Amino acid sequence: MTRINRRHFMGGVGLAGLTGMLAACGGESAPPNPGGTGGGGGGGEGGTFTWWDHFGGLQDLHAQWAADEAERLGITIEYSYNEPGKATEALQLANQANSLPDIYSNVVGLPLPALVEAGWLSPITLSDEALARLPEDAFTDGITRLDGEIYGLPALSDRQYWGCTWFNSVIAEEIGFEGPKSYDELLAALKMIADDGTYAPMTLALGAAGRTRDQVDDLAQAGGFPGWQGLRYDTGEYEYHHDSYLNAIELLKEISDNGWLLPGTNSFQVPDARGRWAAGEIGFFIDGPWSPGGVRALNAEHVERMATSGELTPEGEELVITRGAPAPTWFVAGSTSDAEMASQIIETFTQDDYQAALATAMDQPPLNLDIVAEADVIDAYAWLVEDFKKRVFRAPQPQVRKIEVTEVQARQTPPSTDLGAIVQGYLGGDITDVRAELVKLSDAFSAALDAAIDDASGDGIDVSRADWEFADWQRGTDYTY
Amino acid sequence: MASPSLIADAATGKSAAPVRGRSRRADQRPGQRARERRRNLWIYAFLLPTFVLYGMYTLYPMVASYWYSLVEWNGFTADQEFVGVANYEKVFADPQFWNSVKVTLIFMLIVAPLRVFGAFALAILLNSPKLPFTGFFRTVYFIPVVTTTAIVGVVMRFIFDPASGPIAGVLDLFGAGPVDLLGSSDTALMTAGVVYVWKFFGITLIYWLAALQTIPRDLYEAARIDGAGPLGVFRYITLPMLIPFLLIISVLTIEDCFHAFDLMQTMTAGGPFYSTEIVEIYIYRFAFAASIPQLGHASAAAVLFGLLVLVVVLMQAWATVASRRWGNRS
Repeated sequence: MTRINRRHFMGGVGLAGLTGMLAACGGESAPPNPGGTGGGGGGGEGGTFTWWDHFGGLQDLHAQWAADEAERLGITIEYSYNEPGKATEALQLANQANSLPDIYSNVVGLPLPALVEAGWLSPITLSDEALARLPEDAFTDGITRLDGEIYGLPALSDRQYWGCTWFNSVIAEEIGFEGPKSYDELLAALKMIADDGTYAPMTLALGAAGRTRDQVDDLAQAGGFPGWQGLRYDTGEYEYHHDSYLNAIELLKEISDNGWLLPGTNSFQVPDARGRWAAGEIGFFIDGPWSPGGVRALNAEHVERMATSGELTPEGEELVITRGAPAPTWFVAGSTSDAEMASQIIETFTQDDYQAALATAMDQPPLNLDIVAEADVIDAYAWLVEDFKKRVFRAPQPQVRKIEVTEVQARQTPPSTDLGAIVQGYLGGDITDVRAELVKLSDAFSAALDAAIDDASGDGIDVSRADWEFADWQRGTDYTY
Repeated sequence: MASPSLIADAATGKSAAPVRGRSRRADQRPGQRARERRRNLWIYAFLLPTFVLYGMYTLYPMVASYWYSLVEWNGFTADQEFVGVANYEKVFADPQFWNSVKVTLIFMLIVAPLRVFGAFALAILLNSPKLPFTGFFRTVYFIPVVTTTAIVGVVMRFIFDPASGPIAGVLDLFGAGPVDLLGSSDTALMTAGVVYVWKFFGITLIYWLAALQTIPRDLYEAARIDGAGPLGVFRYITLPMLIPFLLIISVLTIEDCFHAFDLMQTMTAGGPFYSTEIVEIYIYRFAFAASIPQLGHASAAAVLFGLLVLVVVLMQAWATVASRRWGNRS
């Protein structure tokens, strides 16, 4: 018998490890392939299905839902939550590693046709019962449907706004202010809290540029901007320097300059700001309707103290918000080996019990807003959802009117800086002429759109800036094509 | 020990002179050559994992970055459109890129001297045979190095929290009020730099301690016998002997200081208003943080960043060599 010396042993281990590593890394890396069998989601009959999403306030619900559905369908479902800021990166890397989850939530920035073409999505097959449960306008070509096939399942309502003025009802009662509707009312309430000196008046997630951008976009629209995300519906032109944007930013600047923001707010990410707010020692916090769900995970006691007066308008005018057609919430990966089973899993999100559970979680409002009234939610959340029904209208979307627009959207690269960073810079004193910065931002977005249109036109696609114009759009009405 | 060829020559009585011109290999017996081949095979077998891993995780990504910098690709689709140097033109035209270069260089200029010369001073102290508990102190200074950087970044956010952090508490005692060190663009970079130096100080310290170990003890003893005091020993023995190490330690540290992504991302994420956005965070922003990533743009920035690091290191190497030559002449 040959004796194994140290050198042989070490060499053997090294070679075995190397062989294993090469075997693990080897194999052809196939791109996502709808209905194909290449790698990716490992779903199969009686197999394991992976489910990734970015809904922090729904983690408990989804973990339980995955377990229940796995038992019902006789499969294994591996549910994972990814923090919103990392979710896109996780999917991007998973795709490059040919390991997309079978089911995932929509955080990818590409329009639906581009995702379909790239093999990211499988068609979703819904039962007649599931289709019957959904509103008639749940699916829109170019948004959730393509060539008659459903590729994205909406489970959350598009009728919502994101700049909700949340306040601590205990502090409000103690100090003596009402929920503000106008900029001046908010400033007055903040001054009362500051003068009292017991509590911090307000906090925001100013370090999260994307969140700040969303909130300022929302405040600007509520303040009269005739468009969304800097793009005017009526003219199709970018106008971040519109007075509504300036007014909203100046409101935040005044709050900051008066020292009414909790120290540190300028660099707070969303968990930082929400964590402080959930501690119960802060008067105001601007956040989306999902705030109670997020707060409950941090400090359930604070949820009962949460109150809201909806979204601010400059003079307390009637709030008008516009949002596009229901966006896809859920996708089935193009690489899943059993799209039928994956479809069966996600069609359960249309069920009343899931929608009710969604409402009870007080995260994003469910697609069926009516169900919130029956759900176990705080009064503020129920009031907010009722407000959504009255205040949120359907916006015009160029890709709905003309599907070719998605070719441009897929090619449009966002400028190097964004609105959220500009707001942070202005509040922190790095920017003195905010209007000039907003003009530059408008120009940068406009140039990027023009470049994308030129690129698409060069490939023979019939698009022009006129496709972004909706001269017949009227504020406060649902746009129809 | 005599070589086999010399022994063989002695046995045959031949002169050794002609043997010098022959290759050693030619003098080896077949059995010896086989043993040597087997030994070499083992050497290559042991080196193979390193070559493969280095190739997969260092060389391949570098080469891939060069290719990606020439294409337009969002990372979501398989389409990679060759665009030549267009990505480089965009990067050069982007003021945010130049801001990140400026931030990176300022950061390096703050932290590298602190690490190199601060660690040098401490190493001199810790190398003293008279100092007790040197092992303890060395361990204490090295512990931050082995602590996970991302965790350090997160913990530091709490430590510098102007509302409830301990730093704010201390400043409050002196009536300084809440100071948002990480939330102000005036102080964020410097604050991150201090944390960075604390975190990685131990690595440079180990370099210097290793360098100090190379100085022969008898040199010190000879100097003392000749009447040199502590300052004289330091001035005429320690410093001259450590000059050659200064180059390599400086190069290693400077190169290291260009890589602070994990700490900076977790502490400031490049903010406020890009005041701590080093090039690595700029690259990350375009590659992963955007709703539609621009991997070509990010790769072009990465290639340029690599060249920047190379240029800085070459400049520093040239300066050190030139100064040494100048010193020798004078």
